[in-house]
Amino acid sequence: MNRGRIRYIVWSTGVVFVLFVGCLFFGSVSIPASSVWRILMGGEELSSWRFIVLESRLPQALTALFAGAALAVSGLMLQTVFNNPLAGPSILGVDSGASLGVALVMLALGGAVGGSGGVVMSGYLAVVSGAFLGAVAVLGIIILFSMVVRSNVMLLIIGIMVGYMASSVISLLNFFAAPDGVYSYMLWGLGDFSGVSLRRLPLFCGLITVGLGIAIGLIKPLNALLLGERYAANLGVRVRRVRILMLLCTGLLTAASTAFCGPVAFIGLAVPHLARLLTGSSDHRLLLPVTVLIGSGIALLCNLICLLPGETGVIPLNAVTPLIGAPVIIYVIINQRKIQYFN
Amino acid sequence: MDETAVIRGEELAIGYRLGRRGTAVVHDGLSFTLPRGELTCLLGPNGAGKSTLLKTLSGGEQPLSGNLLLNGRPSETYSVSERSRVLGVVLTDKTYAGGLRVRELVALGRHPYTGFFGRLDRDDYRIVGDAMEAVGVREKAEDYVAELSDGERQKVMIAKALAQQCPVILLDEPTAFLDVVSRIEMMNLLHRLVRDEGKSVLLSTHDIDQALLLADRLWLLSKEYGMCCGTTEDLVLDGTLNRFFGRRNVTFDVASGMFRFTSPEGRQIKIDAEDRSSVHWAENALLRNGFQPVYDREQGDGPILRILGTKEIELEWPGKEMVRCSSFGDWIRKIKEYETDEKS
Repeated sequence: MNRGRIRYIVWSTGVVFVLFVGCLFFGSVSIPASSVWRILMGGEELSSWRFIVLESRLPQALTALFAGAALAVSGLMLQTVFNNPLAGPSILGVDSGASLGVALVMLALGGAVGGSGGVVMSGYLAVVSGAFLGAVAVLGIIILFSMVVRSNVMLLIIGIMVGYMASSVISLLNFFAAPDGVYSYMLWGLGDFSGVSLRRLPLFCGLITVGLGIAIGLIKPLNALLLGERYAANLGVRVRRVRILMLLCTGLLTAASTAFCGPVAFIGLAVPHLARLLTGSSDHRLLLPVTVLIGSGIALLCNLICLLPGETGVIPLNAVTPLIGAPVIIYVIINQRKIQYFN
Repeated sequence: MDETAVIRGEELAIGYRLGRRGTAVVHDGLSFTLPRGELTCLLGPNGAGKSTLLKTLSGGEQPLSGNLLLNGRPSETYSVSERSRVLGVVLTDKTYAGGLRVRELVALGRHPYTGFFGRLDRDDYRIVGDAMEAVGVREKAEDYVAELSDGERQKVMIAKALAQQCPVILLDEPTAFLDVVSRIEMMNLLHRLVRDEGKSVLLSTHDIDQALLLADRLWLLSKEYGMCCGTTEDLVLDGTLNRFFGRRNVTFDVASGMFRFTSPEGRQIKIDAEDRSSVHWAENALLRNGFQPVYDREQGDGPILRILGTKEIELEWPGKEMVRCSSFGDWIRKIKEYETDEKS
């Protein structure tokens, strides 16, 4: 790890820290900075402000931090393993699976549960486990196919098809469901980092930490896979095992973030490209940490943008992420000639 | 046990397993040896099973039956990581490493030896540097792989295989996408690795000319004749090469070492010349135009081409006056003229 590499990591860590602090100091309720500081230092302040900072803003910032990292790392791994610049967690159908699970729970239970508000505790847990089961089910299908199908492109197409099937089942469910259920499902679908309370935070962060840990273990084989599967196998990589580990890891990261935050678009697809553009490298030893940091940073930034209207309300997350993600993707496609990371 | 063979196949059947539907056999009963410290070329027409054979040798496919020995030990007993230290490959597969620098890509060859994160120590850096030096891409070390030409990329992949420090290197058509000069360079490079570094190299190629010049041994593979191995010159002189690749109108000319058009029904023209290169190029011109060069005519009289010098050629054609030509172009035009006269 040379000096240039450390510089990237130090810089992006600094930016993420600033954005994180920003998320603590700004919100739809305006609280003076000095008061926020006192609250964070454990001082005495208005109990309502205390509640907002510690029970709402802090978990929300942490959620954005972890969810952004999780989605970005899933995207990076999928792009490398499928050797495809347009792969992402949503392409593989994992988040469609999670959505299907959520839709089943919400539409079956009617309007009794609120995904983002977390009105009824038991309903909320049902949503989370629904998302998880849905994501894992799709993942199981993909892993099953990966035993039979050798080609990564074919596997990618199967992922896309499974995603479509899940979406159409969701549409059918929506058609037959009660309006209340459809409404709360729609709210969940808008994406939100505020759905994880302080009590559920350890589970959420724990799952994502495990996923990121597996990803770190895959750095070396991911580098070898840049040469394609046959070269990687010749370098001593057990390709099939790595592929299954990668699918498990991606599934875990995507399922956790989708279950708790809704299907957040574009971060998984765009952030790895931003990381490559910034570092000018495909070496995962540098790319993975930078992707984690940029993922967190972008998620925190989107969270801040959502809070801009102040007292009037909160912008849905999925209305903001494409504004940042889509231009990146367009830039990458237009500049294929200049940026030949996949060539 | 033959100590000089790094790879030995005994009654090997190669092909693909199709799950429950059984197997697709590409070849069976193949027996061969890859000698240590030599350059061997695998030649065969398209669809002969060269790629399948290379895949089987590199462990990508399991043999359907028979024995495959790598350094005297059954190939299937090697673990993936053990094999990665014995056998390096250079493929025609598309890679996605455009965002790596040349140095980083060559360093991937150290994978079998490095730890959890693939961190290189001082020895690794030296080996990577030497590998780049050996193939002549040292000055490109900091360039992105995406910026390289096809030939340079191929060299970088060979440097990767060198950094892997395998005694055996298998290459699948390493000259396929290269221009003529790069091809010759590439083959010379490979032969230098064999001589200087003592590697055992097997490469598949369609470039028979280069293979004949530089291969110590040939492996010939075809659907009809199976497999035949031997020293290059032996296979040329005993007619095996012609048997494998010859067609009705294309035969291997042992004297020139080239494949040539032949037209067995073409008009015979006797060449009468002393100079070797004159004979060669006169033959070349005659064959190209559908004539048959001969040196002794058994019966009757036919056309005779008497080459006294490159600018002094006499052409005798039955029923025509003898003409003197001052260039090859002249007499070639003349015999074509006479031929059309006779036909009409």
